[in-house]
Amino acid sequence: MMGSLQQQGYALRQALVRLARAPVAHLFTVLVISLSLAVPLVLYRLVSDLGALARAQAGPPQLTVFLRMDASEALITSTRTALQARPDLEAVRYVSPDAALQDIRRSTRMEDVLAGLDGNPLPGAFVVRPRQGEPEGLVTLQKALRALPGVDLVQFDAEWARRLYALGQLSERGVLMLGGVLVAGLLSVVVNTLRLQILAAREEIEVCKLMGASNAFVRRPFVYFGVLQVLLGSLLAMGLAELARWSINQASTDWLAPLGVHLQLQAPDALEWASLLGWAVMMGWLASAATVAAFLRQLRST
Amino acid sequence: MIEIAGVTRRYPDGREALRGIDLHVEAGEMLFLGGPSGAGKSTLLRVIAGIDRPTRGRVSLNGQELTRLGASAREALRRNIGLVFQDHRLLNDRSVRENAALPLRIQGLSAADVERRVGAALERVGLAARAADSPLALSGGERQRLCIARALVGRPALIVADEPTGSLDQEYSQAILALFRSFNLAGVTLIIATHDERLVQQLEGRLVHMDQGRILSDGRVAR
Repeated sequence: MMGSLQQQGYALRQALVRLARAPVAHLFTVLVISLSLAVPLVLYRLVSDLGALARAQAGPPQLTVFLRMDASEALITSTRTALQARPDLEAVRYVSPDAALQDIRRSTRMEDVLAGLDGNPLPGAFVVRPRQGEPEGLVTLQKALRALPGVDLVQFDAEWARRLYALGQLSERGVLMLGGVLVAGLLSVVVNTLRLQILAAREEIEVCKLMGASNAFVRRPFVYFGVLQVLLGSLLAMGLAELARWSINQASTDWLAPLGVHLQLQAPDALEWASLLGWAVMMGWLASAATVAAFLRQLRST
Repeated sequence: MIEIAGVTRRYPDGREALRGIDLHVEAGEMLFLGGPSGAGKSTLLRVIAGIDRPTRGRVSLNGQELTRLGASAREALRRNIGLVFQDHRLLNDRSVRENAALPLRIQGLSAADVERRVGAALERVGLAARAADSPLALSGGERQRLCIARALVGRPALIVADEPTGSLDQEYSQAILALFRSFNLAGVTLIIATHDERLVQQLEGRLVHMDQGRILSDGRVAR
């Protein structure tokens, strides 16, 4: 146990010595790693918050449930009860034919046309707000509401909802793909830096193996080295992402707020930061361990 | 201590470096492997140290058959063998002290133990004053002494040395051999490969003469 701790300490010191030996070169590597992490991080936050803003600007999805013209008070009451009992609806509001006519009078300039009508041609309607806005779910809900007794028509702008949803999905997919490419870049940077380090230390590795060093002893300093680089890169990425977020929020306050658009990117919480660090360090550890293992296999076969 | 029976070592290119070697080495013995370059001395040392595996035959060290051991068991065995290389194989980006400490780092000793044992080993080979220097700043003889300090720092029961005086002049060579003699007197088994048999004549020990992968003679040398 003590021996293992001594070896861990030795490996960590060796990794730090390697980093300190060429600080400028390693700083650039750390910078590349940090950009590989920071860019998808900021873009993901931007897409996510812009999507929320777009949904907020568009308003919550609503469906209008038109009743038949001959719907009785009893039917209206039973329909209201049925709608209010549904767990997939958040709010239910009844608009009577008279209220609807008043609305039209207020919002249009068709006084003359409306005055010429014999009676009120508008049906009673329920305006309902579903709990979720996924387009396919809304279509299913529309069909279910259409099947209620006394319901003549259920209307919502499915196309608009689909477009908004698709746009959000497309943006998220785009960010994920970009993130994948950048993370592949990150792994490639880690692997290549390590390969160079290993090649430079080939003599040392051979001597250690001749003296009976285990693969773990040889592997450890390089794994620490890779993990340290990714860890430093992740910390820098967090700083860069925060800087970008602050800068975007500042610009939004200056340019969008006067137009009534309030976009403020949210800061990741502690759990999100910890996940990023943990995930990045794990990737660095895996890439480093795999690179050294490949080299040791090659060494054994020569 | 070491039992070698019918050992043959054939390289991938088909060349046979060892041909049916039989050898028995007692604990505490000082054995010289003599013979011209290409005789198979270095290969035999590598086989004894568990670095190379024989193509045929059997090698036992303290009753453990090396040929049957897995990679990690052979590594563990090598940690208890002191190795002195002809080309030193020092790490030039580390200090003299760190080079000597390498076997102890591999064994995972505490910092205090490493410090104490490296100090003693460097003292013994006369390099205590050069502990902080780079190996590049050392002379050929000093580099070889550092290599010996690295071999003895782990207090091995067996030291194998490949041409330890190969690059040294007569005076340095004698100093190095005297150092080996002192280890042997302390109970360490030594197997030393050398093509310079005049040096062997200066020490008491057993001389095994090899050529073309075979043992030609095996006898004692007396001063």
